[in-house]
Amino acid sequence: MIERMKKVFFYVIAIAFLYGCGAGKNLTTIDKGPVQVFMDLVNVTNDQVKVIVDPGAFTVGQISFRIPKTVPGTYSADDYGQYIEGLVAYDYSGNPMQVSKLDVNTWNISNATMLDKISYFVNDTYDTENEVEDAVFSPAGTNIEKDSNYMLNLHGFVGYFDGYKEIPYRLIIEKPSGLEAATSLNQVVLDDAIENGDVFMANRYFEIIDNPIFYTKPDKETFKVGGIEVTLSIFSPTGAYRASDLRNRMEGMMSAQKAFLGDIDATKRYNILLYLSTMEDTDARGFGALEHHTSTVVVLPEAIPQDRLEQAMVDVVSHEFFHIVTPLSVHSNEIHYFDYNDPKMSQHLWMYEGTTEYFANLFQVHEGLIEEAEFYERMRTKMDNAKGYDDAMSFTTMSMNILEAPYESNYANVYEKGALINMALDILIREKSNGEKGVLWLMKELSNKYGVDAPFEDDKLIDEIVSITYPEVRDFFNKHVIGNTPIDYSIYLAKMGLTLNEVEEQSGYFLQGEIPYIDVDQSNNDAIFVRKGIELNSFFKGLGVQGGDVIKSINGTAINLESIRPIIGQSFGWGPDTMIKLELERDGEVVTVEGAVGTPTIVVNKITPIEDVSDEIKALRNAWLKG
Amino acid sequence: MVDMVITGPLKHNYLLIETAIIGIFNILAGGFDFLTNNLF
Ligand SMILES: [Zn+2]
Repeated sequence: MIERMKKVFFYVIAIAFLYGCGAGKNLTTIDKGPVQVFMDLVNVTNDQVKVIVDPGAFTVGQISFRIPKTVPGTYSADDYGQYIEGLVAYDYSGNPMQVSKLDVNTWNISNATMLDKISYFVNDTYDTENEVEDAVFSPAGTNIEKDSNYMLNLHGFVGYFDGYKEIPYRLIIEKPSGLEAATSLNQVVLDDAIENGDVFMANRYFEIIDNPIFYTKPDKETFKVGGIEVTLSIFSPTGAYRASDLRNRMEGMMSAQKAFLGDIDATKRYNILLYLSTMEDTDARGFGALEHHTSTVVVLPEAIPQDRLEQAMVDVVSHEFFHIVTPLSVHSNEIHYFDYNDPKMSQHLWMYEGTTEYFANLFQVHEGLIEEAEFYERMRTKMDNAKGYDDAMSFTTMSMNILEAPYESNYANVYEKGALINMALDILIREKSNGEKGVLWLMKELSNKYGVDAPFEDDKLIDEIVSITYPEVRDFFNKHVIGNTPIDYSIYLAKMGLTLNEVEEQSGYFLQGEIPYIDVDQSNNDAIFVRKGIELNSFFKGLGVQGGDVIKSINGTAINLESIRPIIGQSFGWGPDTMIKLELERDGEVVTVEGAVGTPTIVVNKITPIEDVSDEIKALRNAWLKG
Repeated sequence: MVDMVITGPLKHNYLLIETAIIGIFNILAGGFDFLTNNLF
């Protein structure tokens, strides 16, 4: 009986909401009450969800309804409006109104005073990632899989009315039985629990964007880290993984993060929403995560073995959790007053992503999760990876223009050089303060001064940092962050008693460790080409192969992704005298090279401690890595 | 955010996904698994 009453209750709410917006509605103006949004996750066809947005009454003549072009943290223009179909505006009599589409994300309604509600269908992004040129990065994307799971990154579902982003939203979601929400969004606890629906409240549109909801068959683990209640929720398509498989490693890792951060504390609860992809054509392909103030969405392939999944989760989730420091706490006006459809970018990606990525590595050595040698190796790898980008590009200029060429294609350098800028800065401040202060100290100072509700002025931040540190820090920023002079890392490493040496290392023929020298061109029938902008091994160099060359055939076998796999396998059995003949395509010409494969080696940089350094330097290094 | 298969030279490098994320085990699937025990 009670069960039945619950169902009826929700039904009544939904019906009242859907059809009850008649004459009485006119009394409430848009700024007085919440925008009500109804999402139907039960009646889903073709992976489309119906959404109804019901605002209060407008007093202006015309109004634009917008779905975001971009959202914070993605640094890319994704046009979520392209996933909206069949948008209809209704007047108070239930008649369709005239709507003009201004751009892919914007719909204009001219008789706004008559507008009752807007209804539309939403397509998900995971389905089509494989088909579109610039796919939405999966952790920012959406998934609609009837009765299985719903990844509700709400910026893909819920829009806002121009000029009314600061008003509350009430989200009413009708859900299939058996699925449960995982989210940090405030859930409204009603007198009587609702069996087949959830109601959420957001104080402003930003909270809608900042709080993804993940509906799955419940698989959750909750644990305490300091004062923070962390919940890990998983969707694993074949059931290969359960939240309990990852709980211990996550708990240990986040406790270490908390120990590293000390008294920086911004949230009482934190949700990790992990989506595991089958990697099939209609499933997510963008692996990694997107940060929010009190949650993160992580997408990884389900096929990873457990030890690798755990390590990927440690690296990825720690990065996202450190975003609590920046940009979630320390951020500029551009981020605080984010314009979803005409965004202004901040200059400080060196901090938002660079400091975050640096901390995600530093805390692991600091808290004993990795050895010092492993930390050096990670920094060294970042130096190598950074070579693939423009080292003479001003980081602040790049950051301000990150949505446009030629800056956009250098974005990923925020994780490589961005982290290294922070390493050099950390070393500089440690040196000047006799080991007492570093970048973590700096971020705590900034977070005390600014914070979630107090943004800084974008062009004042560096002055601010210099004023609480040292004049040399200004020189560093002027030269290497604002300016375009590449950093000589060996100078900074030397301050810590470390050297950066070129050494010759063993390599595979097609892979260095696990990193391939080759890549696949999916737009050209899975053609295999030699990667550009990387150091090639002696095998490729010796044969005269160049970055960018397309490998047409190997010993007479035509090459594509499928046919090269077994050859990569065979290559592990090759000896120095094995002969090879490669047919290459270079600038439209066919070039043939042949010879013995030799013993492949590659010249790499290694960071190694100098023996016999002074006790002062040892103490400084210790303060840096263990302080 | 963090993108494990990010832009630039590694963009859409599915070989990289297979090797760096999933592991060499899968890329060699189809008869070469025996090698994996001795590789890295
Ligand atoms: Zn990030």
